[in-house]
This record gives sequence, C-alpha cells and structure tokens, in this order.
Amino acid sequence: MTRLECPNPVCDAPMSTCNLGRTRLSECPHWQHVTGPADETQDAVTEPVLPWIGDPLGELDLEIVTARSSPFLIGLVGGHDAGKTTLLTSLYILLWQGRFLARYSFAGSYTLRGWEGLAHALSWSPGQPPRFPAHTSRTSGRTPGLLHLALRQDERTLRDVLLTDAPGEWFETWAVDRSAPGAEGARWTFRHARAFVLVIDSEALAGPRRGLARQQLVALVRRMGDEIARRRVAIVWAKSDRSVSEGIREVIRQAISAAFPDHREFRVSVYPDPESSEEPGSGFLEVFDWLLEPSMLRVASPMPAPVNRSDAFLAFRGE
Amino acid sequence: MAEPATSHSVLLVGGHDTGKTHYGGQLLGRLQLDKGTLRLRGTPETLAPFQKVLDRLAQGRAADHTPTETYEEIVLPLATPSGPVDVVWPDYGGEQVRQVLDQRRVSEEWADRIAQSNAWILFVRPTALQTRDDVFTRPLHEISQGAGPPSPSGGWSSQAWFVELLQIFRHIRRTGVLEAARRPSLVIILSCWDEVDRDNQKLGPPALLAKLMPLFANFVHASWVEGSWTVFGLSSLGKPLSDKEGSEDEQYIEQGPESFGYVVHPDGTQSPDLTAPLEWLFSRAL
Repeated sequence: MTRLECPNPVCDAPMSTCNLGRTRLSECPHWQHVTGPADETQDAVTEPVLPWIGDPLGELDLEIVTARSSPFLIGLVGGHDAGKTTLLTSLYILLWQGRFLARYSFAGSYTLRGWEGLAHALSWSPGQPPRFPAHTSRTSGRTPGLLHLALRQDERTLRDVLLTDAPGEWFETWAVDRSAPGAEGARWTFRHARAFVLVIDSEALAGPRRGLARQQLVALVRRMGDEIARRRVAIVWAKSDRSVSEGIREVIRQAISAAFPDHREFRVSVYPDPESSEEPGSGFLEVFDWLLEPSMLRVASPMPAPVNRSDAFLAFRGE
Repeated sequence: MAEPATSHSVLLVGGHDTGKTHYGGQLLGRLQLDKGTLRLRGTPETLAPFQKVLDRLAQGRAADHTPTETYEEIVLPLATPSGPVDVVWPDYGGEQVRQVLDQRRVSEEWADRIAQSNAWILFVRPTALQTRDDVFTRPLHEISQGAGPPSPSGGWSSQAWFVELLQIFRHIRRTGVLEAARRPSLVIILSCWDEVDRDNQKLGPPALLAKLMPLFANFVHASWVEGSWTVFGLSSLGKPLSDKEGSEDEQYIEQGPESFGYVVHPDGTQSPDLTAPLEWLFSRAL
C-alpha cells in the first residue's frame, strides 16, 4: 500500500501536524479526500497528533500561538558569532536553574526541544563557537526560526513571547544592502518585531580586526535606525569580559544614540565578574526584564498569518 | 444492584521505575485492611498485578523491575465520600510516555483517559533527576566551554520533559492556557522519598520540588490556581528492598507490608496512611 499523504500542498501530514490544526487527521477535509471518512486502514494516523513538535517555530507554525494571543516578537540582531545564541541559551539555562524574570512566571513553551537543543549543542562542541542545531521548522527558508516562551503575569494574563533565531549573516548582508536576496530574513525581522536586542561582540571589537568590526557594527546600527521607528532596543555588550577601547566604544555609542530613541545598554558575560557582587548571568535576565516591561506589552500588533495566495481555498482563513 | 460506572477518574502518570507499581500494591494492601474512609468497590481481576506485588512484599522482596514487564491498564475502583472514583494506572512502560513526547502521537486510549480524568497524580523520583541534567547545573561559563557529556535521555532534561508532558496532557484535555486552571487537580508525588538525603527531606515536599525542579515548579505555579495542586512525598516501601531471592527482608516477613510505607504531607508531617494523596484529591470534590 502506498503511503498516504495529505493532498494539501502546504501540509506535510502525516509526517508533520495537520496544517488546519486537526488533532485527528480523520477530521481534516483534505485528508478525507484521500481516505474517505472513517477509513479502517488509517488506524495509526487517526491517533491525536499534536500541533507542535517542540522545535523552533516557523512562519507556518505560528498559528498555534497567534490563535490564542497576540505574541510579542523580539528580534535578536547581530553579526555571526556576536553572541546571540549564547544570549538565548543563557536565558533558558538561567530559567532552568530557577532564576526568574522579575514580573513573570514561566508558563510553558511550544519550543522546548529548541531551547533544550541550544543548551546541549553548546555543551557538546568544546572549543567551537556555539551553533544552533539544525531545526525543522516549516519555513520558506528565509524567515528566522522562532523560540517561544509563555509568560504569566497574573492568574488571568498570559503573554506569548517569540524570540528570533537567525544567522548573523542575514544582518551583515542587510546592513550593506537592505534589499539583497540574502537579507529577506532580516527584513522579516524588522517588519514584525516589537522590540530588539542588538548583540555587540566585545571580543571582535577588542581583537586584531577591531577596526573592521567597528565599521560593520556602525553600518548595522545606522541601517537599524532607518527601520526602528520608536521601537525599544536593548544594547547588549556580549562577552563583556573583553574590554573594548574607550575610543571605539564612544563611536558606537554616538551611532546608537543617533539611531535609537529608546534604548538601554547592558553588559553580559557567561563569566562571573570579579568586581560585581551580582550573580553571574544576571545581566541576561535584566535585558528581558527591561524589554518585557508590562507597559511594553500592552500595544497589540498583528502577526503575519501565513496565506497561500495561489490557492483561493487555502487563502480563506475564516474557518 | 451495582453502581453505575463513575464519571470521576484519577490518572496516575510517571516514567518507568518511579514507584507507581509498588504504590499500587501497597495501596491495595491498605484498602484490604478496610480501616480508612476509602474502600474498594468490588475485587476486579485487573488488580492481579498489584496483588502479585503485595504477595511479593509479604515474602520480603521487592517486585520485579524488568523493563519488559508490562500490564494492561489497571483500574482501582474506589468508594469515597465524594462518590465512586476510579484511579487509573495506564498501560505500563516508559515507552508509552516516551512515544508521546518523541512521536507527538497519543493513542486513543490515552487520549480518552486524559480527557476524562478529573485529577492527575504525577510521579517524580527525585533521585532519578540528577543524572540527566548535568549540563544545566554547571556555571554558565563551564557550559559554554563544552564541559558536558551527551545527554542520556536523548535531548530532554527532566524539567523540560515534565513541562512538555503536562503541556501535552492539557492540550489533549482542552484545558485552556490563557488562565490558570482549577481542573484537573494535580498531585505531584516525590516518590522513593526514603532515598532522598536528610537535608533535602527536611525541606518538605513543596520546597524540595522547587529546589530540584524550579522551572517545572514555576510552570505548575503559573498554570494551576493555588489550591488546585499540591506536592506529597511518598515511600511505598519505607526502606530499600531487594527483589533477589536470598535477600528477603525479615521485618517485612514478620510484620507484613502493611507495617511499612509512608507519605509526607505538604506540610512536612509523615504518616503511614498511603491513601492520603487520594484523600486530598477527593476532599476537593472532583
């Protein structure tokens, strides 16, 4: 018997979840075209199938979150190896260890496997720069994978927060040429994010190629300034155990002040700071405490609803 | 005339080797003594596996822990002050639960049980947690230097595993997430309490859960209304028992399994009444 596949072109059932969100495939109108209702041969695939798999969400997976709330998307921006991955990984590990955000409880995540993968990938590759494990989110390949946190403010208020997981190369390309084909993911981020984290690689700015690093960073900041409007930007000096010269720091600060009306600087490092009495890692949490201040979350903005424009039936979102 | 089937169902969940089977056996023993407020409704044959456990304990030995040992679903039918209640031990086998997390599918039987249950009892064995979570308990800078071995659990730390399990169960039961839930009631049982070291025991069950699994505890706090969930400690056997012939425990033989085993209430007090977690659930009017 040939394996049954869903005839819906944007649906990968039974390999993945039903695109229309049916927990039982037998209830999906597309699937029924193939098998007919109540077909005995489909025993295995009539079992409830979950609408999330735990990996980072792609554009087509977003419905599971947008169906219940207007999520707050935070775009992480920075060149490759700047420290975006370490920032996300550290956030998760700190939550895991019982260090919490100031105003929110952890109320779950649809991307736990993605979060777990960050921590394990980090620990399995000694000496190599941390890498995101390959994720299987269903995307066009040109939008960032999204990590999800459900945060509870009080008994009645739940906030869904999405964090972008994007290769630094996208932003490097975008800083040079906004409309370049390789920059689509960056453009998507700037279109939809409600706040940003700019991750600055202190190590690169202190190293032998610091002149180039400074130049690239300033170009990125200026490009962001064109797009940011009044959206909040957390400036994160990552790897802050490396010290950057005052001259370079000042140039960058000036560019930032000119570009971002609402920003704040943070220093983070995975290494404990010998001069600070704070627990190591506090900086990572403070970044998100600031970005997720309740006043920030009140304004709703629409998330993209994935639509297949070439098929009038599939374009209908009204079921 | 026999009472009609109950609409109240308590689902008992936990991974392999978390002590659910010994609890079932010891619980049966306590119920057979007929001294408490909970009674057995009839003596169904499906309780045979628990009777086997009890018989083994009477001989001073623990039940087998062979991974291949399976049983079909076991239902303990109780008569309680709240009316008839079924306590359900779903199909044994850690692979059932692993299948849920890895293959993202739930069998119809499991889905029905989850959807119909009014209360969940989740077994967590504290001493089984550490080995899977090594990478998370290191300082951040050590983690980024690649100090950890590959995870034996295939990528799920224990905390993430439990959070995901409850997320899946709530989804199947259509328990909405936007507000904290009152239903189903949740009892978390920290099992094999006698294995826990003294300092940790002194914290009492709720604080120990928060210490060992802060992310998971935070998740439960956030997702359930206060008063709808609680944490008990449990030692069904009261002491280590071997399952080997020749290593029988004399005290068990002399005094019987009903003299052993205890629960630790959320406030830290200890009692031999193994039905206490169930009574907590029933007092909340399922």
